[in-house]
Amino acid sequence: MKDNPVLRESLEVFFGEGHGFAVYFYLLIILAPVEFFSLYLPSLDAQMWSGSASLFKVSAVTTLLLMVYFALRVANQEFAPWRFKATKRWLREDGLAIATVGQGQLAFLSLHVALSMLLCLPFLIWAAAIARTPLPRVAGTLLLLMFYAFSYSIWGLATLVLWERRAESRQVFIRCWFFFVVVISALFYLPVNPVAFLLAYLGRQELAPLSIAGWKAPAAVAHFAFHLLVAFTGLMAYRWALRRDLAV
Amino acid sequence: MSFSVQAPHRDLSESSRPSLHCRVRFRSPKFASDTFSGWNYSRESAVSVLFLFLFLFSSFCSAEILIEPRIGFHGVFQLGRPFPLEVDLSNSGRPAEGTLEVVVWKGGATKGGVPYPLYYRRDIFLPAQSRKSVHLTVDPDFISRPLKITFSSPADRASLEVDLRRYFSPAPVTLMVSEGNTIPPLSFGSASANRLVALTLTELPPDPRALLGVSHLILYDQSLRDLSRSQLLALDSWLTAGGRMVILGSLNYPLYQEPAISRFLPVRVTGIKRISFHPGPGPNDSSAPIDNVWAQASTVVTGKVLAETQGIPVLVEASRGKGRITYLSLDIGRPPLSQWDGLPKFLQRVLASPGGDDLALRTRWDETVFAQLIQSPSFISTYVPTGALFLAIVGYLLGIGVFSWLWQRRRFARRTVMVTGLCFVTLSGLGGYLLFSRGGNIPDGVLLSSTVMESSADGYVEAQSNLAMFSTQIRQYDLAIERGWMDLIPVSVPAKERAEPAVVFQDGSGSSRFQLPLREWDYRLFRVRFVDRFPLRAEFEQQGGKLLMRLNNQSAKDLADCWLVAPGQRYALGDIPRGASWTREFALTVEEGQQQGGGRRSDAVDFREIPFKDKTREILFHASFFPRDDGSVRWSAGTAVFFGWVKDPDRRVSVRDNRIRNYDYTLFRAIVPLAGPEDE
Repeated sequence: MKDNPVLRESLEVFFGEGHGFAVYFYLLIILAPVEFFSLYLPSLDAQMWSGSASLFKVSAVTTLLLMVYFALRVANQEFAPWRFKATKRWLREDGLAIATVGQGQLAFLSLHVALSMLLCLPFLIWAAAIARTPLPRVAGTLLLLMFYAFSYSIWGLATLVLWERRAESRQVFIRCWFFFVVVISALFYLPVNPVAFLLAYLGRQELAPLSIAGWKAPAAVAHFAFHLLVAFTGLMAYRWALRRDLAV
Repeated sequence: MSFSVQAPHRDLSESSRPSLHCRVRFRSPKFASDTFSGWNYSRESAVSVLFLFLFLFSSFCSAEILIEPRIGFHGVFQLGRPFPLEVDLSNSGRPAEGTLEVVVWKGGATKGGVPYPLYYRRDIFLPAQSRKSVHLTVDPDFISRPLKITFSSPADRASLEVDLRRYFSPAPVTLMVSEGNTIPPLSFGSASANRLVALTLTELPPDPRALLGVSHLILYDQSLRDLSRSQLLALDSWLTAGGRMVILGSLNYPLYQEPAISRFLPVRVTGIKRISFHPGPGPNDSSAPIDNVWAQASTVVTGKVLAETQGIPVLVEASRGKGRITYLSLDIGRPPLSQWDGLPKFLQRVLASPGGDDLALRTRWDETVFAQLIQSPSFISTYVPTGALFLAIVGYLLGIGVFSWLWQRRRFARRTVMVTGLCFVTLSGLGGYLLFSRGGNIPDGVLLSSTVMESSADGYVEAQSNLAMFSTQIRQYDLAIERGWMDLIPVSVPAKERAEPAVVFQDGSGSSRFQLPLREWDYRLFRVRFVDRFPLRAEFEQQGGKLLMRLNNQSAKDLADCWLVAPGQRYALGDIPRGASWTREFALTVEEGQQQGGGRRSDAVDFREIPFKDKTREILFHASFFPRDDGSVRWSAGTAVFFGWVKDPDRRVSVRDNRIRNYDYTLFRAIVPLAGPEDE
């Protein structure tokens, strides 16, 4: 994997040349004031009487939104796009295999998600300590955040390959997709929404099960099934787009 | 309908003394009688063996516990007020060490909430073949669910349910305490709704709260020498909290010269005389004087003489805090007064209340006030390390900035920078976690107590304490309440289900300790009422357009940030140290007021314009002590209000745990109505 040229290029652009630092700067510079000032805000939850009680919830939801949003943009190569070689060129001119390109891009995306998580980790852990959140819940939250960021941002890779020369279309799609998964999805079925599910998980609340024609599925099952489906279809779309690029 | 006093008795009817026996479980040792056959015993050794046998027999048996409760005062208590519960525990088996637990129900429809149980507990050791009486004061909000008494030890358990509906009275109870059985045939006539109950001295409860459902305590021909210290203190506290004591004179005047009763008497009894007593002046009273009535001769010590005959004070009244002591020097239990037809009416007049109670202005204490406090930035820093968090965030961001700068500058090998950076992030996370969860001064909970001491008569104050106990952890909190508290009312019980109910631990001296289980970020609000001595006198005299104020602070506390507020005027009085005594004149007219002492014109008393440096004080003052919505009518009606913050106030409610932070805010205030133009 170390010798994967796609991964090496991404690492060089992001960290060697420093074009990726902006992502982590935005991530931290937004999360830090949100976390601090949420101490002074009235709680959204009627049972919790102070911002400090909800500090971990607020911080975790903010991190979720930021991580998903920036992971989608990173996957979509919105930062220093002129420095990346086009996928078609990797496949045709450099003669790389589809698997090599796919592995390189997925590996870099995974690295970005992990690094984002690592940088946000102190903020989340401090918030958990102040809000007295049990450590197993904290660990569960961290896993959920990484899971969401990864499963949504695969669609960033898919759009990158699908519409490589239409950067504006990709950007519009990415933002619509982000808006859909974090907002609109709640209108269809609340447990599918990542924010609602995360808040319910931290608040130890039971969400309504999914009921279709008399068949019932627990909310957690429905939630993870939906997200695995999103990730799987995103992966399939990405694979199909890479093959199309090679074929055309 | 009339109520006659019955002779005090210990035996209640079977219906009011429900009892329960635990079955004896024998585990007798097997002694083989033939083991000893053929032995030549002396008489002593036979007795010794007998005792040994008895001892072993009793120690091998289980405890047999008999629970006999006595509800209220001979089976009567006032509904909605605390009442005494005496539980007799008889153990006819082996020694038992266990817990006596009484469960009553609080909340319910009348309190606007769901019913919840309140547990009273006391640890008890019952020796073998013993009997023990336990005095408790219980306070159910409703009685449609039974009171449950349980004694449980590791080996045994006995319980009993008591239906309280058979014992309550809607009106307060009047108690009569008299020596032996020499009770005069008292009758108050049909006009009195109060139940009259005769007690012996030993039956008086040692907890003042148990007397809150008592309107009057009548003492006749009774020595108080045998009252325990806790009973005396209970009587004192009950009186100062608004109780009424009536002391009736008798032929045995030396009883009235004892120190125990002298502390209550407003007179010093010197002897006995026969007088001619005229019962008037009633509105339609044309009865003739009654001759040869026995009356105690006395000299007045405190109080006011309401009736006097032949130089002898007949009826004397003295106030004690919010309560009142009435002394009638006549012996109504002996002829000729005992045979007098007008006695019930006369007694009703003696016992009648002189007027409505001067209820102190209630402070506001609810979730909206609490929310204001809790969201105040100055208060948040008392339970959350805001400063440390801010520094940690800034330090972390700077650290990440430095590492990214080092990375780009390539001054060090990138591998070194990466590893150091990873260590920095990891250590920041772990160090911060330890600091914010366990280290520093982050408390497990905070107990906020805000008290208003309302000036009452004779150097007494009525203190209303508003309590907020809030927790950042799942844990139990032991609230210790000092002696002398009267009412503890839960203000809010949040809707979410409680895992465990509150438990009250009462000891024999009337002290109480509340055990509150709280979840993380959970809270409870309470009100507690005390009547206490605080000899700070603030007297006002209106002289035309001026207000003369005399102040004498004989209390042991300094007052800070004092103000005098009258309609259209306010004067900052600064600090008033202990021992300070002064008289000042303040202008009530607008022009003079503007010239003196920084007085300011406004249409009415507006407390909102009074500033305090301490934000918490400001919130408490404006939202709780002088709420705008409740008080505006009263303030605009023409009153002068003096108030000041008590420095280092005595802690009445506390949680003795260094993981809990206690904050006390106490305001002394005196509210004086001013004469309007029509009154002058």
